[in-house]
Amino acid sequence: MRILLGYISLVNPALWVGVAALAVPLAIHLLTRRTPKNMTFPTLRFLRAARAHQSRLYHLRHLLLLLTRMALLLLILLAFLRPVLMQGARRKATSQTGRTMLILMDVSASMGYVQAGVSPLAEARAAVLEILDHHEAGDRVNLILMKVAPDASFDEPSDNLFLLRRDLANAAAVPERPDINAAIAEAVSQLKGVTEGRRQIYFISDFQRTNWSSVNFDQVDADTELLFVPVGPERGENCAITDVALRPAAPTVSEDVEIVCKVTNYSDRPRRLPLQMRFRDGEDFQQEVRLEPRATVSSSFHLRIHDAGQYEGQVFIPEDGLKVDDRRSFVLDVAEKVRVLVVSDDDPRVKETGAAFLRRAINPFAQKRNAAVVSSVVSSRDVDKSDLARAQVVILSGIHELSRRSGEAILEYLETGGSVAYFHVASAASQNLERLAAWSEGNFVLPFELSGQIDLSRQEGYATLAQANFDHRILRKFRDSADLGDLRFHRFFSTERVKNKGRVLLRYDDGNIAMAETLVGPGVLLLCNFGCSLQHSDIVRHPLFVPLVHEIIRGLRPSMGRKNTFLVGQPCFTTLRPLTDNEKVVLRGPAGETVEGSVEANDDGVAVLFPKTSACGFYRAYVGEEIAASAAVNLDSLESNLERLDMAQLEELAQQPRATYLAAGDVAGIEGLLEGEPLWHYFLLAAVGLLFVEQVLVLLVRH
Amino acid sequence: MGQDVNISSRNDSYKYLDENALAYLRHLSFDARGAVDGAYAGKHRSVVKGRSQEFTDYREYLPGDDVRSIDWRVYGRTDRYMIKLCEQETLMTCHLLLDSSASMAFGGSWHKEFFGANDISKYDYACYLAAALSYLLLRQGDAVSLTVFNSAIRYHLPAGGTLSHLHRVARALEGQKVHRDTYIPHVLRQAFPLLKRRGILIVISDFLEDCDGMFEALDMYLGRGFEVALFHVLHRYELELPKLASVNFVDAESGERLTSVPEDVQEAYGHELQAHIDTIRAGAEARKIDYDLISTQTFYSVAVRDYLERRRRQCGYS
Repeated sequence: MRILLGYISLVNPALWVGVAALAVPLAIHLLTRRTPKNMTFPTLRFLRAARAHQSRLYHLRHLLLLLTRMALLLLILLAFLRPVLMQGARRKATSQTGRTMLILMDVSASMGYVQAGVSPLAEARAAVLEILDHHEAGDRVNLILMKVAPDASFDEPSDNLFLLRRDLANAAAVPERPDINAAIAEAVSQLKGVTEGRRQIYFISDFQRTNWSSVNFDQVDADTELLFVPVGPERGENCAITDVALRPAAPTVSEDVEIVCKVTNYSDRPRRLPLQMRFRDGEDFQQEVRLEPRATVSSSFHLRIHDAGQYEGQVFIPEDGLKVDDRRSFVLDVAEKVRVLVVSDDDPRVKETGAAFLRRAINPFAQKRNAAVVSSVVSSRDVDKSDLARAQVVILSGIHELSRRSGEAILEYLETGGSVAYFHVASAASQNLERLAAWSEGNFVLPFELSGQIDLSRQEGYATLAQANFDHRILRKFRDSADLGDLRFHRFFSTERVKNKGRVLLRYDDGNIAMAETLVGPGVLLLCNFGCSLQHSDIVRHPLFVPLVHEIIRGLRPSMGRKNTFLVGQPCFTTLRPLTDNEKVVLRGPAGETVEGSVEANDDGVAVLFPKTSACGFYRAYVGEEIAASAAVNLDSLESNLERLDMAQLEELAQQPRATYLAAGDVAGIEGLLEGEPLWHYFLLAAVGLLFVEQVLVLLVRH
Repeated sequence: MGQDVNISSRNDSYKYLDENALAYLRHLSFDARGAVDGAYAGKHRSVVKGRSQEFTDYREYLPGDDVRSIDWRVYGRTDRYMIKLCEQETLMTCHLLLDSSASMAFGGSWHKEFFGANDISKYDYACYLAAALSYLLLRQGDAVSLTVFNSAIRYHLPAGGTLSHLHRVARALEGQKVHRDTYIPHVLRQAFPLLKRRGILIVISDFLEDCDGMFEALDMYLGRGFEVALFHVLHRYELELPKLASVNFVDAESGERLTSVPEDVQEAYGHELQAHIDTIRAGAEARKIDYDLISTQTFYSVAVRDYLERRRRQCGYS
């Protein structure tokens, strides 16, 4: 039982009875104060004059002495009462309604960083235990682990501390990047039903700048108390492989492949590290990288693979405090051919459609089995993720109205590093582009606006190309040829350039844009303001058409993409060859454990989706004992930067009136936060000071 | 020289006549500083020229002069009637004015609870002093008058020079009571016609009042040829406040009250009192009046002896 006096709580209130001690000096004062006797005194007028010269304070010095002694005793008494200062929002309520506490504990990869044998996770566990130790009757608690998806111990706050402690003991750092906003949303939803008592949310984390600088606290209402408990070092010294990019991302047989590794030094001292690359067949490559403080270095391995297939590879640096980011996996998918997916709603029975011309241009020697580039056609209604996953380049031509499912699949393809060329002429194209821009939720903006169709065929007129950006990789080969100017275009859209968005590659002689490129995440969207059918232009008749289509395919092939790696906590997928009826696919995780997933077969092969990943490494699809396909899963590189968000910045970010921020590394301060800041020694110090004052007063009184 | 006075020659003994203390004064003499006005022959020079052993001058006989004063030897030598002038030695008259106002009732039996039984009050001390001086003067054959006053004269004993007069003085001292306030200027004016014969005027008081009025009144006596001495009697606990806890001081004359711890005000009080004493002392010195501040702590015989010694030194006697 405590007594609360404003912000000060008394731990030993029973000692209040000691207040009786204050009566001691009062009694002594009263007892020693004799009743003055009357004395007839002749020279009273001199006494009167003498007293008039004395100060009022001098007359009251005995009273001052008494008050000083009483204050001295009061301070000593208060010291014994063990007063503690309840900081800010930490004031304990005297009401019987308990608190509802939600403990949001960060278990992301960075919490596994070990320095001097201690990890932030261990500190976080200690902090949570400290909070649980201060659980009082009526309090309800829940532990929410901040992962890529929040993981709560209970559906609602509970007083079952046993299970909470068990969950806490089992909590381990996962190689994931936490979704803090989702965790806060979970906490807020659990607090929604709590109407009585105080509501508290504890954030126990290493407060990585990369994760916390974009957290949205607006969803937390102002009455909820927020307590930020930072753990771990202020700036962990960490080196990490932050990215592995394949150029091209999906090479073909015998093609030169560059494997670019980005190694980042997050420490304040220069490092020199051996960088090792190893393939599953045991082949090793090694080189040394020099890293300046807080710098990233790209280091490349060049190789050429002569057999098609999937090659699992890993890149290593020596292990440090955070081991999980010292290794990065990738899958090198060496294809026999470049696969181009043509999405078109043109009638396949008609030979002179845009799609038909494109297919012929992509593979002019259709009979030849070992062609380097092969294409397949799918209608816009039927396009799905597995189709897109197999294609290195997607060409849209003659699309009618794009369905949302198809559009989102195309956008996802783009956002995962895919490339799309859109030949648009029909009026539906304008709406399709607007829909794609809208569905991307601002992820891309068209480089031009389509304001209306221009049809010059009626007047037997045409437009020619007047401007070309020959520095672009697609047009570079046409720099020295004047063939582009010979092309005649009859139907196209009138365009209005959107400033600073995308790049214009070609312009018609009337100033309208003929070809432009824009980025959608890591993917590229090439917009061709012309069609490939004979009604739209004569491009298909021109010898330039085939090389132009091939340069477009070459230029759009992902030189570096994320299709080869996925992030832990998110789904990943891969494709494997078509299966026979007897063959069965088994899905396994990095440690060889069987995992759940979906296997979907179609004419071209089998798409395998792993809906949930929980570890770094390879998620494999086995056919029998053979690894049929792999997907590399890696840690989000943002987890590697251990720099902490300054508490002042966090305070500015949170903008919460009832928030308390503990000092970094002050896990022991949690006790002070919950128990209060002990003040007894200040009272004792004040008592000593007052004792000195009392002695001075005694001297004054005596002299 | 003085006669031996046996103070215990009578059956009754007097409070203020202590034989042992007076024996201490037996060999001292109270000499007049100048000529005095006396009716009887004595040891002091008289302002009246007449027949005696001490020749001073001659002058021509004038009608009306006593024929017996003609020096017939000079007439025989010069055939002129000359009168021989001689300085007459006469008795000195000492007028004792004793303050019996309420302020004199400090110490002694009045404050036994504070200062103990052995303490002596200012009034008693003044009475002892007056008795000792009377004894000393009567013993050497001079006359002594006694006037007891507070705000007015309460008792007056005309001058006398006999042993029985000492008893009358002693009896008179014992018979007085202290009360009421004091007003010395008025008393001095009141006593002026009573004190006919010039001599020494000794005022024994605590002088706790306005000094200017008193000195103005004393100027009348000085103008008439009186020698004036002021015996300023203060109690030892007036000079230094008693070391007591809180005391409710009550003014002896006005009844006003003031509660204080004596120690707290000692220093400032001392300054105030000293300033008052200095004022009286300065006024006395300006008029060549003897001023003697006497603490009741000093034995009165010693105080008298010290005064007479100082007086003798001032007169140039060895």
